[in-house]
Amino acid sequence: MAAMLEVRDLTTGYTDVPLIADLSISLAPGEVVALLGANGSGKTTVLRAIMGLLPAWQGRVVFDGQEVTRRAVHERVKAGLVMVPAGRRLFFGLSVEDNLKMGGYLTWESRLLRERMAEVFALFPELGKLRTHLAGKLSGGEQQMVALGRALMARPRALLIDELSLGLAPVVVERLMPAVEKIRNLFGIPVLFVEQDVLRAVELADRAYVLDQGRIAMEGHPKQFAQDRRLIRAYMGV
Amino acid sequence: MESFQFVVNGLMLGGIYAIVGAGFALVYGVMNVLNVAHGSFIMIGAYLTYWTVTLLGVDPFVTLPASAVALFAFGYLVQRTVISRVLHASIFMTFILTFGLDMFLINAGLVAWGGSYRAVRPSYADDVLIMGGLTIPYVRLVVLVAVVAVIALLLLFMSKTRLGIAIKATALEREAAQLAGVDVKQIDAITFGLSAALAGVAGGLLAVVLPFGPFMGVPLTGKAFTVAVLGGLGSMTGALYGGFVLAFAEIGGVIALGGEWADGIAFIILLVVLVLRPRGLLGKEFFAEVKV
Ligand SMILES: Nc1ncnc2c1ncn2[C@@H]1O[C@H](COP(=O)(O)OP(=O)(O)O)[C@@H](O)[C@H]1O
Ligand SMILES: [Mg+2]
Repeated sequence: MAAMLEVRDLTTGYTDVPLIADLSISLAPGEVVALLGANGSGKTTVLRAIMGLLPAWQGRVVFDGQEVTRRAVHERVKAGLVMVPAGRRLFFGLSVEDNLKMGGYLTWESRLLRERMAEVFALFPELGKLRTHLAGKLSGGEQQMVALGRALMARPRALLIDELSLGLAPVVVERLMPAVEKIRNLFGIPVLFVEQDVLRAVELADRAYVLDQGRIAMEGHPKQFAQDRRLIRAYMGV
Repeated sequence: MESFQFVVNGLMLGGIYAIVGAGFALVYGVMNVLNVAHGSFIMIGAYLTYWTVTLLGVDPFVTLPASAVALFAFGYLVQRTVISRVLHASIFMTFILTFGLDMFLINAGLVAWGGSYRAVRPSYADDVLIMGGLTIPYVRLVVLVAVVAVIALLLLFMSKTRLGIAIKATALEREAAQLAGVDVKQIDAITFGLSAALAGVAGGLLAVVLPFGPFMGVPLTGKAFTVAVLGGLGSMTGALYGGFVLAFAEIGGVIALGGEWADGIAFIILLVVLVLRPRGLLGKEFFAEVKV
């Protein structure tokens, strides 16, 4: 099956030393793929490079058959490549409703905005009564729901999620994780998600990559290497 | 009677300061630039109104939308060609660059129009309105109405339109705005244009109430900064309030201490606020604070 998202031989970094070197990953239509790895292994950097927040030094990013390697971030979003950033990055000074509307920035048609917002509230009913609250006033879990909702408002054709569980209590994570599954089922879009917790990733993902110091160390079904010692060593850093 | 005059003058001047400060705060909030040339945009607005009135004989208030459009275009181009080059440099670089731009504009003003003071005097300049024993100069009343209209339009634009909300979002979380599909470089230029347009309108209004020359912007940049700091740098609504606070403090100070204090009061307020409460008196939560 032709990949929805194809990253080939990607090299990039923040200084003059490459942090990600010759990295290749892919995401097929409808697939849920986990990107695992120890803290600091470069997971966030990979997602940022896919979105264009960080320029690629070498290699290609191909989305739905189109090369987007040199395109601006907003052009990739327009093509349907959407990301939920680590730490949520909500517009704290705006209401929940305006945060969601911003997710639909590229369409901004009142009927569509209303329809899509209704979908978000169906997925996360607790947000419905928080519409007029400032996003900065919400709890961490509620903020993560808004962050997911904001991404869905863009009608993504593929979704990247960076550490949904970051800084959240386990009970809240239990509530949020199934949303990823739902998103795939409801919208039929592939999801590439970064996760610290390998056990949680195992439950969710069809396939997983393990990143180690900017390179893919392993690839396969997460169950098959949940017990693997090499993985534990690479992943937990012990 | 005197207290009535005090309120009218305070509201009028406060509204103008609010417009000036809001534009200054918007630029800081979106691109972290303290625009030293803001006052010179006001000066250009004053001359635009002056020349349109003088050459075409129209009412000065009619010139305001046209000068807003002209200054928007000017600000947009200045951002695209000059300001965009220092966005990732230190705040010091933005100071040097906008200071240079300010010098350039002031000197261009001197060369083009000379150093003498000018005033815009519509035919009804000396008319007063008498309401229940109270007299208000007619011009001041129209300025007050114009100021209220501009502020209302600005608030409506920022809270209800796609572009206004995107400007706020970009100021709050630039990368998240990009991830929502916002072309943030475009937003930078539009914000700078909007700020210049507001300055231009403020200049046109000031030209009707006060004599002005090419240097009129210098103290106004300082006041814009004071107003923005009062409101919590980067918060546009905070700056709107800050404008009225400064105006009433100034007018009250002049009454209590004498006219020579007029421009000094802003700097005393600025110092006190920066020392005691750097996030601003009215600093809104989740907007930028003064970074020391
Ligand atoms: N903005 C940055 N500038 C310089 N180095 C960075 C920056 N962001 C991250 N890094 C470094 O890049 C490495 C990988 O970071 P990151 O991609 O965030 O890892 P992960 O998401 O897997 O925890 C880390 O060593 C981190 O210190
Ligand atoms: Mg990370």
